[in-house]
Amino acid sequence: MGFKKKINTRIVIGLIFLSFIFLCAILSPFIRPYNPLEMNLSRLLELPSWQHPFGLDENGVDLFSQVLYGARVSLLVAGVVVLISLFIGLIIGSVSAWCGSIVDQTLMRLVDLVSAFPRFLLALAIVAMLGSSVFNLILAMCISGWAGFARLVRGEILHLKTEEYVLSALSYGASSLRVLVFHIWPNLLGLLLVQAAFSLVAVVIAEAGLSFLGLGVPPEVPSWGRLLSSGRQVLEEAPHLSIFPGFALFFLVLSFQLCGDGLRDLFDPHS
Amino acid sequence: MSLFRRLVLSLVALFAACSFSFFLIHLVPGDPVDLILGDQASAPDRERLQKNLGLDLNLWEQYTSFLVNLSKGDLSVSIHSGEPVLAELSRVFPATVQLAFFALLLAAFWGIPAGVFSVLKRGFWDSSLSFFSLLCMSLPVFFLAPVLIWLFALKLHWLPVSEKGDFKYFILPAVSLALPLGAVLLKMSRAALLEVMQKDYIRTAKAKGLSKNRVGLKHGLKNALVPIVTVLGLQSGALLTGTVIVESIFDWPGVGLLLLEAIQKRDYPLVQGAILLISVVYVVVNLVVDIIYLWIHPKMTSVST
Repeated sequence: MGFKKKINTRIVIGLIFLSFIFLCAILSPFIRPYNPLEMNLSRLLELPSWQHPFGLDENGVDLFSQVLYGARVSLLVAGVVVLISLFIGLIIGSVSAWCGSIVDQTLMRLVDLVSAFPRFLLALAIVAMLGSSVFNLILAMCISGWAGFARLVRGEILHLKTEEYVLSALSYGASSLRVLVFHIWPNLLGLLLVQAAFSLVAVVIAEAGLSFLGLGVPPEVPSWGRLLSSGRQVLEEAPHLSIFPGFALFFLVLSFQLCGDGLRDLFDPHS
Repeated sequence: MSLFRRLVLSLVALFAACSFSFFLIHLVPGDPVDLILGDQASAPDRERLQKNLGLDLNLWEQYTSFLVNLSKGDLSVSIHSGEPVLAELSRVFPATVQLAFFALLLAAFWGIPAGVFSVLKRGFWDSSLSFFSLLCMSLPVFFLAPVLIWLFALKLHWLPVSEKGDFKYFILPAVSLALPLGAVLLKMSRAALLEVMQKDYIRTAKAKGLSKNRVGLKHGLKNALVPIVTVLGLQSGALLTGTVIVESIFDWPGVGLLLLEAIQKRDYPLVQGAILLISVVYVVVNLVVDIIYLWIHPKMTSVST
């Protein structure tokens, strides 16, 4: 009983944090006190005050408004990347497990190859060459992101293929596609959710990391990584420029991590 | 997966790393020569650079000549400094290895004992250490490092920030890498030890009347070390990419800083070389870990599947 309670608190706390960040992201145009493009050149690097709760940055722009906007960038990029990776991984993993033999071998060697490189490095190399834009960033992270999902889906389908309900559906004369979509995919949901949560952790950090290095979203977009990178230049005079975007990022990563941990205990109690 | 298959896969991965780094330059939108030289470049300059980059040949010829040169250890020359890429890389590589190794050591020295401690103590210490590791895992290194710099270098003046020198210069970059890495190790060693502690031989040892700590340390930890060591290896990817960011924050003269500077200067041969080097190190480290794993536990199959 105590065990079950512990799991649920983690997911609940994670979800509460997440919905808070989501609300901030969606409502940012209405709740932000200042325009993120409005500069106040007489008050550069001002410390937090009642008027500007997070202070002003090196261009005299209100930091609170920028951090709010940054939530949009993080959530949008991470959400899109994980959704696309999940979709590609689901299709490739299913095809691989269902067709077997040479198709399976080929696709899995491809998965092995993609996972033979550190994900962040792969994305960094691709973005560095293509140039930095939100589209290129998403593309680069999808290229390295699908393999984990494909491997997971394939393994689980190979396992489910021999389950009685699948065999009985097949013996009724249901087509393979129908069995796959209506009988097998719904049973993958739990595992996919767990993997998606941890993937979100990785992608949020990777996006911010690439933006921090000046390779992610373009410099005019106020992403948390970019804010941290400009904060790094003025750490001595204005530590608040690093602390607020950093905590926002930490908060988002922590909530995905909590959800992932909780979901894993819920769906996969053995690991 | 047998050792042989693992070896073949690693060779294929190495080959893929070479091909990937070759094709990188073809991902550049437009003409790389234009991007490097700008619009006002003269025709002979353009031709010379095109020849240097090997872009005057067709794609297949470029690829084969790249592989042939690579087999001779020739990675072309840096556009900016004119030095061979291999020389540049070997100049900065030791600094990265030192940093990564020191960070790994530090992570192992706090993560593993903390994991063991939380299994032996349980209760309050266990939950607070788990909570602490969760916080550390959620701290991106590019947030942790500035906070550490601000606190220990700028406010307290205990430690220096950048440049290389004596031991003191290692502390901040290594701690920034080791704190999140150690948290992963804590989690893994805790899980591994908890699993081992349920085995029959542990029950036997307890039944013999050995103390709980002695059973945990002598019989438990010894058997839990295998999964812990493999996690150390699997984390090398995170460590390698972490060094890229940490090097840029601390101006640490390693492969990561070289890579980022090369990206900024559009020094494509140098970028290709650095990416290749990091990928190769990653593949080799994982192979070595797998071999150690098979050697300790011949019954087990590979970790990475």
